[in-house]
Amino acid sequence: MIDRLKIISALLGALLFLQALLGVVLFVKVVGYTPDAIFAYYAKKSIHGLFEVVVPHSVFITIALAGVVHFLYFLESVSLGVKRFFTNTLFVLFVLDQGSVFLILQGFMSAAYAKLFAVTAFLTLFGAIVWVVSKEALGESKEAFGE
Amino acid sequence: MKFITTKKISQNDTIALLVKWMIVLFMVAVALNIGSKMLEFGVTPSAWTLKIGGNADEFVDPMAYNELLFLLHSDLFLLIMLYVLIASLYVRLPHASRTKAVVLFVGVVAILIYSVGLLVAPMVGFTAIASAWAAFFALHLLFFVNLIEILVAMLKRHI
Repeated sequence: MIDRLKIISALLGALLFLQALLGVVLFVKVVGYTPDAIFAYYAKKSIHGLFEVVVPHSVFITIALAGVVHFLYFLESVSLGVKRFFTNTLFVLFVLDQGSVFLILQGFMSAAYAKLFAVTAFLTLFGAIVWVVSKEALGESKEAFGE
Repeated sequence: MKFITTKKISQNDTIALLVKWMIVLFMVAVALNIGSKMLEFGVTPSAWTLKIGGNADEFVDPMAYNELLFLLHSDLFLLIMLYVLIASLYVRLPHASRTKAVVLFVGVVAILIYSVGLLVAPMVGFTAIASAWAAFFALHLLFFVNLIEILVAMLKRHI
């Protein structure tokens, strides 16, 4: 059973990776990966256009974050302080990522730098947490099945 | 999400009621998703090919690749969420573990075929689009059957 679970988990992991990759590709292709490109893209959008992007991301990424990050609290190898720090940082980065576009719309160029930093840091940190949790989860499931 | 950790859902009437409603609304969502895709892309693989690839003879423009990526990005999120939530209930059914593993495997592979099929559709053409079409309908049929099985098991208080 453990091998079947591993295969299904790996395929689901591949799907989640594909989904994240699609998000990054869309960001780079449609918006651009420089502060100037980010500013140019969001500054010409309407407030309604921003809501169309921000609202579904706020709902779905929050669910995904809560789903993935809560596994971090089952790990005994990481201290509670570190867990809390990473949880707060991740959510703050996400808020900065989504919130900065409204500041760009008001003409703040510095918000484009903040957006670029937030996107990069958020993806890196989230990727690291997924990696740590997956690694530990596979080890735990092995123990649970007595392997 | 307490139902994920509750050993037997039917022992807790409140959670059981919530889960039953969730299953019913998931059925509606699955049916609506099929309906919306049929309206947007058409019913047959040829209609999907025409929508994605276009046809110069019929003056139909191909779909922009960015638009296809956007569509796939939102579709994938919906399908992953549905898959994870249905799977978390399906594993509780009193079937053989091999059967459950096969069903879960088929589900995740269908989502992958649908995604990859659409991703490579402009390069590969009809074969990729037909694969995505078949995977999409097979996946929704599987979701629907799984949801009915879960609902029946819940009503019989098996899970």
